[in-house]
Amino acid sequence: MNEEHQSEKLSRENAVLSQQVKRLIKAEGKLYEYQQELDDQLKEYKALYDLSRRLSGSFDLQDLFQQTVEYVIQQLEFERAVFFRRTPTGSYSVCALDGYYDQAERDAVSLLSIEPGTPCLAPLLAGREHITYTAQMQDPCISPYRLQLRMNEFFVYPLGYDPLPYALLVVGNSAENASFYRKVEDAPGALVSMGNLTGLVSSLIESHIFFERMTQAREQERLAEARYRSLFENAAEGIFQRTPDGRYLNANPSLAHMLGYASPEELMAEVTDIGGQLYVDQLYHEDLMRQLDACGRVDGFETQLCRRDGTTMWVSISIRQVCDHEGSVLLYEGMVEEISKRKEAENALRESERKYRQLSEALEQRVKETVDELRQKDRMLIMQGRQAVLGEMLSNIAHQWRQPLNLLALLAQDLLLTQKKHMLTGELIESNIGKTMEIIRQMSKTIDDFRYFFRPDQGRQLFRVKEPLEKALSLLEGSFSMHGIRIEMAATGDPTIDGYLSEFIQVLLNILINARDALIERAPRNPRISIRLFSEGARTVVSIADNAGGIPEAIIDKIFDPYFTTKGPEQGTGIGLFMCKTIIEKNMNGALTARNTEDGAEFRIDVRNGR
Amino acid sequence: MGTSVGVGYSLLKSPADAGREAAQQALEQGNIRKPDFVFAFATVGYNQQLLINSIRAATQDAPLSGCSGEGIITRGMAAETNFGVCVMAIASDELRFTNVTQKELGMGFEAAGARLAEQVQPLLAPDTIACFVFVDGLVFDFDPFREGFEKALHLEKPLPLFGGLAADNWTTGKTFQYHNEQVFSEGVSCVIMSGSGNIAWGVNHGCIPVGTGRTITRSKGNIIYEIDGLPALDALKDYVENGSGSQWNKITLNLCLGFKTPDFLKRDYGEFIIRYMMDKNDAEGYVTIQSDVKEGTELWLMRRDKELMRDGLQAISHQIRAQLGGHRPKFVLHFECMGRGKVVYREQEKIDLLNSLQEDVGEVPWIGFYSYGEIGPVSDFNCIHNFTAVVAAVY
Repeated sequence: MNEEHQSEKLSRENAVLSQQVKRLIKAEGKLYEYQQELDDQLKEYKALYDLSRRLSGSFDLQDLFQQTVEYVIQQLEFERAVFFRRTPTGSYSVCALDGYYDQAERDAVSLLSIEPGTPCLAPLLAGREHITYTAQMQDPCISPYRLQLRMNEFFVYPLGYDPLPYALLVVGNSAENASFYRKVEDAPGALVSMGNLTGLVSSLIESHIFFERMTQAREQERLAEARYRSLFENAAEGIFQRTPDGRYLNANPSLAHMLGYASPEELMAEVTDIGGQLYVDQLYHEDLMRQLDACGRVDGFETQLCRRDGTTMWVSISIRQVCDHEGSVLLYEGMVEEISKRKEAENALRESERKYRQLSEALEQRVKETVDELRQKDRMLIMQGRQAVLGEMLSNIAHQWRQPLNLLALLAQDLLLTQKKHMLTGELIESNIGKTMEIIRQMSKTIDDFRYFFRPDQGRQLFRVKEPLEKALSLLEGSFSMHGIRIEMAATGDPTIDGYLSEFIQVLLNILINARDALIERAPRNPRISIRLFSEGARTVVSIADNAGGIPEAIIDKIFDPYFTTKGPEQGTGIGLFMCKTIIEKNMNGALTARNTEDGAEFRIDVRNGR
Repeated sequence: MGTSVGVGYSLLKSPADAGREAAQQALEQGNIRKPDFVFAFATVGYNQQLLINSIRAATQDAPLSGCSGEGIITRGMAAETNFGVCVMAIASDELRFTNVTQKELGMGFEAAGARLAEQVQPLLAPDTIACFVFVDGLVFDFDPFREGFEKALHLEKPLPLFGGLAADNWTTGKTFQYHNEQVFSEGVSCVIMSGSGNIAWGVNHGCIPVGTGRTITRSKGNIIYEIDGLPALDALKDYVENGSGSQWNKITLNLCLGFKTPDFLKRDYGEFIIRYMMDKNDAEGYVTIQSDVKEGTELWLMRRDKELMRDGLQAISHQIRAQLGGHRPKFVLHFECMGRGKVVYREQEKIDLLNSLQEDVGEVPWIGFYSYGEIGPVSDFNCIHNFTAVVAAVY
């Protein structure tokens, strides 16, 4: 019984022991599991601590983004991580990524951006801590992101509220590799890990934002201060603040320099009564103060100030009152610009203008005189030309008169001889007188023609061209016939010209005489001068052509030049054709041209007709 | 020249970057321009082909062998993660490495062993030192494989086999073996090491029995159907928190099977041979181990014991130092059961233990991985082990 009892007892103890061992084994298994979890957590905390230390010492946001995604991949054991950063337009674009080892995938993902109105962001913008898209979720709104991010399951965490998220961290796994990575699920382990990381990074980002803004603000403040300080210190104008009782509170180097003081400090120390010490005429200062009291500010007040060495200068002062909130004047501040040079310049300008006016008037007079002189010269030249033609005409008259004079002498001798022979009868005397009178009439006509040509200028008039042309030919008829020159005249209609008749005659005579001289010199077989008179539209044209062989091409461009002649010093003056051109083109607004024809030269007078 | 060896590792996530970083470190450490041979062990998170390509590129396409592990081991570093790679580069005019592969475990393990032996046979030389094998740990049955291999080689004394069973971190259901540029599964990657050198090694586990002995009442090959007349899984369920449902990996790491060590091994190995239950079948209630077992065999449920494991590592270093006899190793290959890693030790404990072992053996290039089974001779017999550390020092 005792043995049985012992055996039973041992058996019970054995069973208890066995149960205890089993429990122990289970507990040991649990212990190892916890141990492993603890190790994982410690490892993660250590890594997070290291990350925190690294990031805390860095002020480079891009470095923070990059280190964060690397941490996600290396420490949190997710496959992929993408950091999106908010752009100035409000969209989010990729600024760092890791876990994409295919270059094409990496390139594609790095170009992704998320627009602010994207529905899947709505929960985050409404304040959710994160969004979890597990592999099992079938929300169609997520599908495009799964494709674009190459993640089948992912967390989205907003980071750094400002007040919208400054950045988004997307962490997840692709479908094909998920089994090697930490699962994306709302399980405590993953959420604690992500929460710890995003908490740290978010606060660092916010610190960065705050720091950046503070730095920017400080920098702007510093720049503004530097800018104004630089303006104040380096302005060309004098800048000051002064008390109403006439002391400088502040002055820039330019004002001190302008007034002859070594420094602003010296100026402020020595000038204690601005009106009395600086103003050449204190009344100006009083006037300025009055205007200031009335208007609160005065611009461009010009006055003279004394420098420290007693010399004076002109200045322009702009000044305004600075009042407290009750309107009491605290101080005046303003700018002083030295305008001595401007004043000098203004005086110089005025003097210069006076001189310019004088010079201009003198010049005008000189021009007038020169023009008159030139006109006189033209008149002289025309007169000279006319004298030359006159000489020619006189020679013609002398020639034309030689025969009638001989006839008159013969008639007179005949009368004397007949009387000596006592054969003088009344009939004979009458016949003799009749012949004599006819000769005298002819000679008188020659004189009349001559007088027609050389009557004094009668001013601008309308005349028929045929008349002076026929007269000219008549006048030169003797000379032409003596040299066997045939005149061919063809007139169409009876064109007129509104111009200067005597000058026009001078032109005709010049051209006809030139043609005659050329024919005499060149002596062609049948010397001729062809004259055509016709209208061409509103213009009257006179063409005078000869068959003397033409003008040499080498000189044809020079024949209208003054003092150009081919006749030699005793025959030509070189001003005939020049004057013809001047008369036709300048005085009568026409054209005189010359050209060579088949056998000679043609001169063409083209003047607006008188109708 | 002698033998130059360098080891590098990387925990980067990009396969190309990680492979390149580890290989470059190895070359730099060994001051090697072009290695004669490369061992590589990596975990399964990487795109394995990209990883091997980058290692090959960095090592100028030197012959390479290795496999995937649950974690990687180098000097002072043990990382059990999905993303870790370690590379050992060897340049030597003393040692020769020739690698072969056998990808047809599906034809039967004995046949596969025989096929591998056919390839190994011509490579054997009087100075052949050992053979390293890296085998798919999810499908492997060692005993028939060894039998086929040794029978086909027909050597007087078995060629010492060292190695480990490739792991998948319980993620993909697929382990990987590396042979030069090839990455494959359900195969064997094999290296024959010959030349002027020797190998010293130690094997030790750290498990103790829990409760009394049990008996296998029904089994076939490496499958145990019943223990003490109960479906195998039922016999185990009292020892696990939530039954044998979904936590199989954890269960099998905490609990393993122990068999009485044959007498001829007992002196060098201890009282129990440990077996990891690499698979189970809920419907039929059976479990699968990595060697054959016969009905009527006694077994004990075993648990890991940290103290024993610590003592075991010291025993290994003693064994190795004794064999070295004062020689300095050229390098060390270390195959550690994944059940002896982070699932039992705190991170720092693990590193401390490793450091302790490495300091005992000496300042030498060291590479290894956490495996699903370890292979190493005991008392001149090639054996597979579980929950064991196999450390082989080449000197």
